[in-house]
Amino acid sequence: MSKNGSEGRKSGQKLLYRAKSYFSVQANVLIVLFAVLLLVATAYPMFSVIRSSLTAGQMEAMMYNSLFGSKLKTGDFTWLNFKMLLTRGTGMMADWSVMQFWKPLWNSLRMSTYACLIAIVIGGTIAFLITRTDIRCKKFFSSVFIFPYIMPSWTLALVWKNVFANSQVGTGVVGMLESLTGICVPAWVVYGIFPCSLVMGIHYAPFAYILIGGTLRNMDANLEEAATILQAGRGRILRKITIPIVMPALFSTVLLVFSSTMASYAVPVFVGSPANFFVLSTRLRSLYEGGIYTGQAYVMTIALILFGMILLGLNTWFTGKRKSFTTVTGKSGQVSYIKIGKLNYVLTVLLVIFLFLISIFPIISFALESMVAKQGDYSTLTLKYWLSRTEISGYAVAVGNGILFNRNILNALWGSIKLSLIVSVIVGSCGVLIGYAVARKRGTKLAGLVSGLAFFPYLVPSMAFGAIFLAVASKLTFLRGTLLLLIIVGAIKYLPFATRSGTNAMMQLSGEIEEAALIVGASWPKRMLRILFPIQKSAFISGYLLPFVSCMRELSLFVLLTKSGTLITTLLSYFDEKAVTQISNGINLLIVIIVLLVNFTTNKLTGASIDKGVGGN
Amino acid sequence: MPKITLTNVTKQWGNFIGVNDLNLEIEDGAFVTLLGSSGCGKTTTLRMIAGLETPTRGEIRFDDKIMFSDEKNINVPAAKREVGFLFQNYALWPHMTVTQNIAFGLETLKWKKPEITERVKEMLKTLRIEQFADRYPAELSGGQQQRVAIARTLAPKPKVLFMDEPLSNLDAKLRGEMRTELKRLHRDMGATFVYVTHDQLEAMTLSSKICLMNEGVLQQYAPPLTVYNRPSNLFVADFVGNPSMNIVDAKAQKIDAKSATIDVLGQRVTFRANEDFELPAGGVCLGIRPEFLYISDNGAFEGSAYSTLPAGMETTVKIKVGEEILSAVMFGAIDYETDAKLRYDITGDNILIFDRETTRCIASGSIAVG
Amino acid sequence: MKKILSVLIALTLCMGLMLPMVASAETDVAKVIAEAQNMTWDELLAKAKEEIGDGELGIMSTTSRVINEQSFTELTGIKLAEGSNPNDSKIYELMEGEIGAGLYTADVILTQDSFMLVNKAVANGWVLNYVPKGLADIALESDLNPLVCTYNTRLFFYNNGGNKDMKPYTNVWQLTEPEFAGMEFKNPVDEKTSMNCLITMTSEKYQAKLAEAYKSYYGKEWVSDGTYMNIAYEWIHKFIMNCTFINKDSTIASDVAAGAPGSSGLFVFSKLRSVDTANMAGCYNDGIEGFAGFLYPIYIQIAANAKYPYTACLFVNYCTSVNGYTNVWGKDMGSYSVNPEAPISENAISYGDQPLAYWQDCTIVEDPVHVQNVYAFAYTQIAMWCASK
Repeated sequence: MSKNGSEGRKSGQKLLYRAKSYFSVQANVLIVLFAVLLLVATAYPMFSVIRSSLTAGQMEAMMYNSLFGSKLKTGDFTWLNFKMLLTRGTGMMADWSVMQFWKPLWNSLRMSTYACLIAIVIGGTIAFLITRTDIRCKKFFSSVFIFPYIMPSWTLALVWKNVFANSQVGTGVVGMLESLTGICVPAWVVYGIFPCSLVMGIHYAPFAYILIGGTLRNMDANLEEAATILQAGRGRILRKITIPIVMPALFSTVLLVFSSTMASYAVPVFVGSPANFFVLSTRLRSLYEGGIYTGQAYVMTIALILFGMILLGLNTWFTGKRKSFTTVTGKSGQVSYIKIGKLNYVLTVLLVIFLFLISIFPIISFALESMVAKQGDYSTLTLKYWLSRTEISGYAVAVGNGILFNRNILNALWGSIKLSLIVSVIVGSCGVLIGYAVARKRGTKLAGLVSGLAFFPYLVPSMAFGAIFLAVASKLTFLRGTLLLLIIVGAIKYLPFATRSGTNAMMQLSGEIEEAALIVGASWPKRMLRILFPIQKSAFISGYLLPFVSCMRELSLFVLLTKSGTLITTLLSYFDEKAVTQISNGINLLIVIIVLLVNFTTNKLTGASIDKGVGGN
Repeated sequence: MPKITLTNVTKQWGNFIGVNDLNLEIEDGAFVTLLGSSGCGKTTTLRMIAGLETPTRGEIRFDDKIMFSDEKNINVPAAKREVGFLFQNYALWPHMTVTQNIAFGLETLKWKKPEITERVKEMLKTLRIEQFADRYPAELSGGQQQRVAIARTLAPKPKVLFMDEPLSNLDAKLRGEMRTELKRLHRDMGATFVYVTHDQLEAMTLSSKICLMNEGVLQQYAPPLTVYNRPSNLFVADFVGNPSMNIVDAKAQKIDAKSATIDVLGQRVTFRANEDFELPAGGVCLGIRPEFLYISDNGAFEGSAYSTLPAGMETTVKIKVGEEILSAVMFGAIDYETDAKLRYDITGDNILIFDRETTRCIASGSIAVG
Repeated sequence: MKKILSVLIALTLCMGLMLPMVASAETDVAKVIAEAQNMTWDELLAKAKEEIGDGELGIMSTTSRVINEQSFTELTGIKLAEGSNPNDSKIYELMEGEIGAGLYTADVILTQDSFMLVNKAVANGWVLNYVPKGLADIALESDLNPLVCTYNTRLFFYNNGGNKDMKPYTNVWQLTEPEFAGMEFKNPVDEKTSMNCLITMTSEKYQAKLAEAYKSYYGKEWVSDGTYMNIAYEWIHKFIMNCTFINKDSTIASDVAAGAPGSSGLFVFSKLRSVDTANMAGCYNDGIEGFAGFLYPIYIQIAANAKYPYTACLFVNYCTSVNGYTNVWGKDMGSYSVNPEAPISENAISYGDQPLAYWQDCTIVEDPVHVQNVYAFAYTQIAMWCASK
């Protein structure tokens, strides 16, 4: 007995000692801490999505009882959400699942696939031109090409519509192209899957550019040179050497673009639905906001998350399998630029025109629209919407002074900047820490769990995220309507961005760099602040930038959680709804300019930039 | 200056055993080399002693002070072991100048400003890198980076210095120079050096004792010449020496306590050992260093020149005997025509007999024909 | 660390303790309303002032008009909190998430969609009805519970290219024909007032109107061939398949205003304020056969956990008074007070606006009772058609 007891005590002590020595290593503390935090932060939303999809809401109970003769009460467990949405019904509802789910899903998949292809073709081509040829104006191209990502995706959709609308389509509003040249493009160009995919593709092309360009830039030129020596043709080198090496970057692009496009809502609404092109996210929104079949909206959410997870799984499986491909030597000695000779001029000019259209033109058009009293009539240019120090009249709602002297707008702008700053500081720092923990514990199950979980919030549609946290706030009442709530939600939602850049940056640092400081007795905070962070400064700061940008232009995530005047985007959506055209265009311009400015200044001061944050180098 | 003692140290990752039940005593002021091919556990051993890796079992002591013990639940962190570590890739901090790199550790140890400046100057001078003081690592060549790394490691005056293949990234000439300097440094500092390398020549030339490891198991721990002359087993015999020892199959029959008749390389010879020995049941093989094969026109053994590799000072001759290829080293530049017949003798008093089953070395001695 | 934790725990506990207090306030609000129903404006004003003091009245509204309305403060000296103006679905979500959880969200709530109001907000006791003294005598009884604040019109408009005599269509059945394809319309699944009006069309009253228009256009009686349950479903289906869904009324209005002659849309009257109306015409004055559009109510309710119930009643009183309507809605077209004594403004009339009675006659008026009766089937059917475009 006593022997057993003492042995028990001994093994207890042993366990305690094991734990103590395990947690004396900071990477272990961090990995466990973040594993727990992320489990809570992602498991709860996931749990509530699943629960909502399996219970009868108050309205659903009413509908199902009436339609199917069920005897559900509010909150009862039911498979009916899944059954009605996913399986063929009878009578009137025969095609419900097809029309509400399967067809939009098919459209979503098509749109996302095309968007991926377009993003990769455009982004990849430009990445190739910039990193591998002697094309001119590289610096200009690479900085301007990021714009479409910085701007909200729907701005491009709006510009698309304004340019290509013509008298043959819809109500016959004459767009810019027709009024300038008289050319009427066919309806399928203006509305439907084509513009949806194209706009999404262009919006995310910077992702492809950044990721593929990063790999190409870091790729040892020797690899290609070796092939050149073996007398392989350029095309063959591209096919057999270059493309396989950028494969992981391609996969990452596909993962990001595909899941983002699947969840995107605004673009399909703007240029899709007029041609009866509906996707899963628009259906999800309709059902969710309709307040009747909300459970089915959650089933759709699960579908979206599942697709994201499948892609994520494929991505990790693929990159894991071919890890050797991603090893980048870091020193690409002499890169031999392909001489494109006479084509140089042509390509440069073409690229300038293209980038002007997708990057500069939308900004100009915002500026113009915010300065014309009468839409489309450029003889009525005025600065009053910006500079008026008195109340601007002529709108259905009171808007106050011109934008630059409008207390409400400036307050909301400050609110957004404040939120974005705080979120980016939190998220960026967590990104560094998670990156550190994952890199140090690489290969362990816990590290896999943490990096997987950190990506998860990316897969949950913003709308659902907002709703989930509204419910959280109604239980933790001290959070309600506070900045803290917005910060928490924003921080969780944007964690994936920072984790990505943080992990990438940390993976590139050998453990020895830290151990060299450890051995001379530098404490962990000192090692982080004096050694690790400064070395990868630009990559880490990029991890702060991306959440800032995304947060500045986020609407659907926050709209349920705050009043319309708190953030610039919620105020914008209010003005937009009330057709306060000039002011909303002006606010748009303001957001874009601020983000560009922040990106530019950070870049100048620290060398960081958004492209580095996405995972480029 | 501490004495380092490892007792039953084992490192295990899942089912993979990195270091198996290692017992080692590193004397104060020694220059010990951990030698072995990659994956043999030498780096792991070094990192465990330094505190960068936690052993699964066992005990590590610096003098009487326990640094690690799983029994006693003690694990002194690396920073508190007061050791220096020189990394394979130098691990210089790219965002700091040479001076800052060297000073960082001293600042951490809370040295006074003037003392730091003094010490940094001293180190820069010792390692002859004064002119690079304000450069960044990226602006230095490999050899210069190496010197900076050494300066940084030595600056806090560690009592024990660990080095993980510090010369492997340098070219042959630089490596030679650095070896000379390391040996001097060791003498000047009087500190204990523990040095990891896969290069047996480095181990032979530098160390006061070699610890040869294979697959996590200690093979032999002895001064370099002992390891060379009296390797404890076939692995050690084969690993140390360049060109490697010739290992040839042999049939032996005991004559008396110290001698035996041996059939080897198509000849019957008499082996006279330096000590008493027993022949094992499973058969033996003979280990002959290349320098003990002496080529001469009236040699007792016969073979043909397979290939000749003159290196100026000496020449390595590959001799084909039946299916076996033997290495012989001769002084001066000699050239044999390929496949030319030649004769040779087995000379010297350090011919080794190994147990073919246990691979252990049984005896050393000399060989006489007839 | 421990300190922070214990403070946090204490805070959470405090919050928890406050929950039942909020809940018990509910009954007080009901009591106050019962009392206020028999009070005159002046009596109510006195009570409200005493109750609210320096506080601010919270308003959550689907229409932006009543948000931050200065005239109420000018008249009573009572301050309004910064109002919130979420769309309908968010209002119901907020009610569920906040009032449903016993938390204060606003004192007065203005919202649309009779079905959700009755079955969600009222059924769960999140809102309470208050009818100002005297209003019951003059307003329609069907508008009193839940109390309607205003009715709004969503009408057929078209672009006539400046030609006042152009009438592209004169019968609603034309809108189901291919040559009138492309009328812009907000997806009724997203716009519940339209959904409710479409559902209302299936009532016998509007079936009859549709049948009449059918006969006039096709020259024959409508007979069921078994495809549709009744004539209304046929019209709804064909109309939905024929129109183009645009996500915002303001976009529709500007599309039609800037579009080609003959292009048309169904959008709320009040959007005329923000577009160039030179080429814009509505069919409401042309005597379109069938109906000229939809008429839907905006309800005004008091939160069951209102902080300032007397003041909330006072605000409801103001909004449904002649004075209040004139100040808040009077300037523009498209909104009509539940109070029959409140006239529409000159400005509205200049756009061709008419009094409520006119619209009640020529539009589909959302009928909460009928909507409630057939909702499950009709909603699902219409949502299904909207999805199958």
